[in-house]
Amino acid sequence: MRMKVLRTCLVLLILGSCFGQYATGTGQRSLVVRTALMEPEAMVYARAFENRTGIKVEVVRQSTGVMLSFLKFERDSASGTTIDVLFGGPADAYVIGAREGLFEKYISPERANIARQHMDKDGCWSGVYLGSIGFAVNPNRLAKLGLPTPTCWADLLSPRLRGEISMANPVSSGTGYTVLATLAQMMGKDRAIQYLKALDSNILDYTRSGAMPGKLVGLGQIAVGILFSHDVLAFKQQGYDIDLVFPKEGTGFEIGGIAIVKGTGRLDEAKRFVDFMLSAEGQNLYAAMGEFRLPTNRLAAIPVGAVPFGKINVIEYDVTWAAVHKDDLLEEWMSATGAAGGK
Amino acid sequence: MNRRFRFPIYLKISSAIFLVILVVVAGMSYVTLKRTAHEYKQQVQETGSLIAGMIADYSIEPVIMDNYSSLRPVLADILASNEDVVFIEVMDEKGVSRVDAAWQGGDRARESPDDVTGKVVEVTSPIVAYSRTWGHVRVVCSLSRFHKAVASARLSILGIAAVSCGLGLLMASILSRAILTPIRNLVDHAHLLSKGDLDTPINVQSSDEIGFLAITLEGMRVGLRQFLSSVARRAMSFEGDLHLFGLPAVLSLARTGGRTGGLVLEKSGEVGVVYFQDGEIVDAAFQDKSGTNALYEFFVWREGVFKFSPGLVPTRTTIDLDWPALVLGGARQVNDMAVFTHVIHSPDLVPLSPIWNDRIGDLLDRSDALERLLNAEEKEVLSYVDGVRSIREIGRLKGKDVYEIYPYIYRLVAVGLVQVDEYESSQGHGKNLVADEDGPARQAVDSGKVIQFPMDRVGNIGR
Repeated sequence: MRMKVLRTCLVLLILGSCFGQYATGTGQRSLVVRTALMEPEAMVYARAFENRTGIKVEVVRQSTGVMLSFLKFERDSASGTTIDVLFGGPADAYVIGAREGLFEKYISPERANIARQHMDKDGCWSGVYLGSIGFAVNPNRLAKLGLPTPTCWADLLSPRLRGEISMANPVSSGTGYTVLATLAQMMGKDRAIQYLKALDSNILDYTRSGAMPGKLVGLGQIAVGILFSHDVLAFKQQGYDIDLVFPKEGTGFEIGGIAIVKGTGRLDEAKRFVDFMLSAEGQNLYAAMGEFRLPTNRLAAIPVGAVPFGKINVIEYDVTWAAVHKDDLLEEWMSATGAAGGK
Repeated sequence: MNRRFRFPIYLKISSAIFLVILVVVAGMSYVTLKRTAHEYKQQVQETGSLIAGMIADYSIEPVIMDNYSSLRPVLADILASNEDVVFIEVMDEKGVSRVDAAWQGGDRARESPDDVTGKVVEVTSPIVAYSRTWGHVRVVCSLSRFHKAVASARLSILGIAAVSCGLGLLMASILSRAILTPIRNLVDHAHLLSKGDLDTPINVQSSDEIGFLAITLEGMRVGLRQFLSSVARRAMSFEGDLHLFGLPAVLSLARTGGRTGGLVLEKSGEVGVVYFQDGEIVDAAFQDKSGTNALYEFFVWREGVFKFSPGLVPTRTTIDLDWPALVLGGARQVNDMAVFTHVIHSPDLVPLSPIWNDRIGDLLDRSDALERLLNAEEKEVLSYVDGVRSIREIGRLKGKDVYEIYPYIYRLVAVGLVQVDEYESSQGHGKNLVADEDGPARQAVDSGKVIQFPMDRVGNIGR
């Protein structure tokens, strides 16, 4: 009898320690968010979410193309995914991810306040912000060069801007690919490739990061950068010598996406993070922290200084088309420019 | 045999050679290890520099854009793929660490940075872009893996050295034993030979130089044995030529041995026998003569041969004289100048009295008895013997021709009262042999010029 009690206690003790270990392990793991946003900005959203929910978030910044490639790599590996949420970056990457089954379908209640064209109808991804492509120009550098401020895409082909332009690499960066897809949708694929081939001779550097050309412009290293307007405005607000110009012919835009990675071990926490970033509360943070992203939630405030689409010539950018033709476009761009991972 | 332990020379040599080899090999190993350690450290430093440079290049955009988190997986991958790297850190331009990756231990044999203090190589690479330094990358590479390998190698070298030491000493011991054992056997045999043991064969089985030495030594043993057998056989047979020895010497020899038997003398087909009983002459027979008559016949023989035969046992006693009287009597029978000159080579020789010659000094005790045997002429001649005068001078003093003195000198020599010195009186007569043994007289004796007969050849008559 005594032995029986002892044995029972022992079994309970072992089971208890197992549960304890499991609980401890689960409790200690943070929600892993990979983001295409700049790290300081993404950290603000993460901390805000942590304060609200108590769920720890680990943020890792990567370019959109790299994030997508990493997700594919993890899907094919036996160990499973280490990422819970993908946050930020143009939606064409999310469209590709949804087609490849990389995301969990989740219809967030916050989607009711988001325009239908800014999210996947099946719930694989949703738009968290909008941003248009623009030119970042350094007026002082342009003045030194004796060049006028470029106002259209054609101005960038001026031979006097040789080595004075930078844009993100379309292969690794969502920003870079948005520029490529925008031009393709504006000019047609062949003309766009010809244009980019001509532009290539003026390009100093294809950066991995989409916002990097803006910083180079701000630092006076180059005269012109091609990037999202909200990043240009952010640098300007930080005090850099930089102006934002929208090309007259029209420009494309991005729908910044968010999605839950399929196979995540923290689905509930991931859903809560998605809900938060789709909510007006979450997107109000753009304005609160001086960012210039346009919120997708119609209830959220538009940041002061941000340029609404209605005030510029924004084309009907087709995210799905961009996603479908991504491989072809990238291949043609690489063969035209000779660039793979940047100059 | 008292054999004190000595460290064999072969063991010394082999140990010395072995130690030299050991020192050289250990030295070379030490130098090689030291050089390898240096090169390894350089290699690690170069690798660290390369990694730091690559990270610095990769970090340009993240550092410029403050996207340090994007470096975390990269640093983790580098840390995981390089076993020597234990810590990577990316610092901003103010030197503040913004992102790092440290090896936390685990399934690989690596140590955390805290454990490798003093065993690391640190490399720093600047992050330079657009004419500006944006930050630095610091890479810490551990040398612990190498230190472990070196310690293992050192242990192996020590182990090999210890085993080699043991094997070397064992080999040296076996080798020296293999060499020393036959040498010791030879030494033992040489000791036996020196003690007169010629019967124990020298049996050392070896095909090398030691074997050759053993064969030579065995040959020497066999030769010695044969020689001694021959000598013994001749000694036992006691035979020879009278022309060489002279009868008084032969008789004295037979007497000295206390022999019993017959001394057979033969000359030109004539044979006679002198019988000895316990060394004393008791009988003699020659032709139809016996006793002293027969014995004295033999004294005048110039030549002939003799042989002692123990089988000829005396059956009677015909002679009852004591030894000096018997010899003196025989010597008085000799009147042959050829016999005299066989003993006295020159009239210029200096006769010596036993007073100056301790080799016949024991006769002195009985000199009075001997002198009583002498006649007046003989006594007079003996009185002139002073170790200075030559025979010629003695003859002049006696007023006789020198050759007339020869018989007296011969008789005195035969009984042992006088020795004849060969050097002449004009060359320092009167030298005392006893007083100055290193003088000319001794040199003359040593050079063989002093006539030793009969006493030197046959021993002491008085014994």
